[in-house]
Amino acid sequence: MDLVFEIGTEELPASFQRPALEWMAAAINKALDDARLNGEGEAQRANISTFATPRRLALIVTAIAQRAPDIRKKLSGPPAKQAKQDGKWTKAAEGFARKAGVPLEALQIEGDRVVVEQHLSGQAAADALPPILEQIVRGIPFRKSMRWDALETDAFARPVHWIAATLDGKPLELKFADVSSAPKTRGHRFAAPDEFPLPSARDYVNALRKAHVLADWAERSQRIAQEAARAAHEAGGVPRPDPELLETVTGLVEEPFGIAGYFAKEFLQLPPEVLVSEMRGHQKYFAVQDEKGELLPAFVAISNTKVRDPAVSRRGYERVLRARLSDGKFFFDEDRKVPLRSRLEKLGRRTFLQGLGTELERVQRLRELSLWLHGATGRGDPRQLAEAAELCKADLTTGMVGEFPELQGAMGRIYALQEGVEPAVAEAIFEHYLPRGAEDRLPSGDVGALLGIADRLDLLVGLFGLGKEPTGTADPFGLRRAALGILRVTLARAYRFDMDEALREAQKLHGKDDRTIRERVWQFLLARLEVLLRDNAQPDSIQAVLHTGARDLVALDKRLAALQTVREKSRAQFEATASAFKRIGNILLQAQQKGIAPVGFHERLCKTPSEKALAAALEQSRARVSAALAEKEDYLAAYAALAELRPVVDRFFDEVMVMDPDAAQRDNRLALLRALHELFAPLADFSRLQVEKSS
Amino acid sequence: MPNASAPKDFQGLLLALQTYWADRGCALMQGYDLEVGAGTMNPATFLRVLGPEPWNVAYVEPSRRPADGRFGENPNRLHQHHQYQVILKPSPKDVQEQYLGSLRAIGITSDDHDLRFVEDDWESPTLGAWGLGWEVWCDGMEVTQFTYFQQAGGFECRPVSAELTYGLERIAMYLQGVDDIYDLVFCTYPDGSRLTYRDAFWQNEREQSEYSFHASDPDRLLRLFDEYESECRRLVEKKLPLPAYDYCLKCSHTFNLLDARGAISVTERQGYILKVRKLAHDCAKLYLATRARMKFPSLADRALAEKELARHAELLADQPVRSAAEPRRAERR
Repeated sequence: MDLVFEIGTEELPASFQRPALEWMAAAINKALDDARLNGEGEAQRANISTFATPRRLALIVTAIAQRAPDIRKKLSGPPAKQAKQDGKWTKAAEGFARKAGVPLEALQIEGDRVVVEQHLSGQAAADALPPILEQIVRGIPFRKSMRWDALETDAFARPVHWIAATLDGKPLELKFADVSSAPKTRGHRFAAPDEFPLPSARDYVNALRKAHVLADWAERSQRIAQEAARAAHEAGGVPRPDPELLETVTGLVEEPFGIAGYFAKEFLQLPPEVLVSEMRGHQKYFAVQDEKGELLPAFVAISNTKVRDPAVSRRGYERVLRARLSDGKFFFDEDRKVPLRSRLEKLGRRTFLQGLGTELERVQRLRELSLWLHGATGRGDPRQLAEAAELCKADLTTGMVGEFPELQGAMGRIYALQEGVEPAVAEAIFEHYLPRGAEDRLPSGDVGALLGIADRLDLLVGLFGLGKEPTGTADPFGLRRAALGILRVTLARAYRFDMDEALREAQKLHGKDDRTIRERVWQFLLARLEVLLRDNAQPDSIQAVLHTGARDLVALDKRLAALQTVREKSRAQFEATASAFKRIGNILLQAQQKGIAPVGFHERLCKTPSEKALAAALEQSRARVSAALAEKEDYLAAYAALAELRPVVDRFFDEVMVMDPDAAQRDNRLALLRALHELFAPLADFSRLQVEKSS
Repeated sequence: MPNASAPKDFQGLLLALQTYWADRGCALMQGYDLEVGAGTMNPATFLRVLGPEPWNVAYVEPSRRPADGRFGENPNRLHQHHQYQVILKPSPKDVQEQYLGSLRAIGITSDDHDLRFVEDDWESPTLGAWGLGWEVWCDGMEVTQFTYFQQAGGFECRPVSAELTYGLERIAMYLQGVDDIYDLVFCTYPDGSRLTYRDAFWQNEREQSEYSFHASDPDRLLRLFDEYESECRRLVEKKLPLPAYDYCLKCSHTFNLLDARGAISVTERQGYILKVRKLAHDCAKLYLATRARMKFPSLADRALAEKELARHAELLADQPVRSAAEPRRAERR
């Protein structure tokens, strides 16, 4: 059977629509499962499609079972001993029967439990759906909900005006707030305002299209892109690609019409970043550019109505933008009267975050920390770093960034260049914010990269110190993003430093020294690193490498690359080696748990040839492996040495019993194994690898 | 650009809106006689949206924003602009249609214009008030703030009021097709000569900007703030919510003046906002309690009034002092 379900509302916020649909689809899917209505046959599940416009959220579900099958379900109750005493059912049994909704006689004893077989008769979809749909309307989690009129309950993102639900064309009855469902919908607010019968599942999209509503999100989005391209073409250009704006505009219109507009050429003197922000930010206009990507003095607005004379709307769009651009020009001119360096004093009057001092204090910490990072990594020019650190937050006090917070860094770079600050420093002011998100690019120079790492370390250490680490999905200070930024930049630019020392330094600058907090930040970083590395490696490889104890991200990355290479290249051989090492690890662990602490290995105590052979082989490769692991960081060479050792190790295990009754022998053998284990420990924690042949 | 039915001048716009909303059952009130930053602060909105009593009003509010003054030199920004404020309590089901009707009444129709309701969450930290709604766009220009009040003074609004705040200058500029606010025609005299916005307000803009940014005396303002604050508190003690609220408004305006003057640091700023918010909360609470003590007299449905009284029992219990005063005075009359 086909369900058509639509909630008609006053204009919903654009950003609410898609998340609401995703939730609704998941909710109906689960509810149909629970009601045993999901699908008409065994193999077939119901098809769920979702639709949203500013004025409606809708679900169409086809192939719903007409009636859920009857089922028998065995419920297990209290232990038989408690349920029946002296041949009589007890209170516990009565309670269980009541809960199961069966008479006492229906109870049976099976093994040591009381059980009852419930017969659940399947409900018809027409009966099951109304309460399910009501719960869906009530359950949609909006970021913010409201009440309206004198209603006491049933908040929604905006007032609800109609609810329409039909199952194979027959109306379903449900209520929400002061609305009772009726099988009617409405078209476009202005172009087709009258009610009309709710179309069938098959006709829904077409019928709404006729009523000037493109209900399908993808279709509407595509139409907007076409309209923007068409209108931009009129203006002699193409729309500047902007997926985020496209998404927003899709949530703002039911039927899109592109209208091109223009602004005075003189405004092109404003930085392109500013122009684009002015157009997209407040106005939701698409900027128009030529084939080289240079902005043209034009834009495209997407209207929700086909107006009689587009020239009227165009003049309106242009007027608003003109006022905004004039304001922008005013800020731009005013801002440039005060050089960035002279703005430091103002930073001293701005709080960074409650409990973390002023912006000026923050900038001073960033200066120290980025210089420390320079010292640790040997990268970047210290003079440029110091200057970039001092200037990097100065643009927060400009009128332009006050108006367009998203231009932080971009304005700093523009103003710095105009003031004659050297380009590398100006670039770093912008780049220290990179990457701003998962898709964003990374800094191109050391100065911005190191400063950005310092900025994020300062934030993490500061907020963790205040107990403000993210919980659940809430991350108001963007700490997850900050952590990922540190990891991505450090790895991409191969910065070598000990993270623990860096965290200690960052803490010192906050006037603190707290090992527990540092450890929490490190674990937080590790958790993100694990996710980041998952693109290129198996989870157990990542675990094995992250647990080698190193706090140098690049070293961890290299170890992982080597481990992946050997795992992939010579799988069988590697797994055998890994198994042997797991075994060694286990033996050492067991010995440790028994309180055995071998002192040192002495060759003279070796009795068997295989013991001697292992000792000799270990001695022989020790220098080579140490060098490979330490100075050369040639982890593949170390793995090669490890592979060479394996036959000797295998022979050792075949011929020698480690846990010898003779304590001296036992301890000597353990000491030998420990030396071997320690030598290769920096490669990976083999105990965390999942290998097929486990010994 | 504007169609034939559009008001020709600024006061024509006011008249059209007044007529429209009077026809829809709004009492036409006046702007408040104290400095306010917005029509919302007028007690006809801020206090009247509290409690269960219905209330439908419309009024023009001259709104002062000292920091927005531009010495009469900016074509779009003013120290004092005019809002047209409508409160519909409870919010009617067809409030959007009523609102669109008001746009038609001033010559703005969807046939000619791209009209849009774009998400806008409204919040006033100083009033402890918030609501959800939209900014209404006409061809990309925000012409109205449309809000469903959820809270005021920290109290839940039950029922919810719809607040419509029209930016009169902007709309007039659009209707008259002028780019400079000062070129607006305020009215046309019988002899055909015109009073412009410049004639009416330019000098005020200049002088008020000069005052806000240069001539005000921060020390005196700080002292005044403290005086107003304690007077507000004293009047709350005396159980006089409306006079108390006047001093709360005084505090708010004085804070705005200090802010425009740059006399308040970022850290202090938050402190001042919290002070005003506390005053607004106390006034709101006292006002609600006072209305409750009067048994919500404008609520026609007395059964509902009883229910509401029960809901506000806690507030009533909180008000033992002088609770008999008003009835006694009423008797004497």
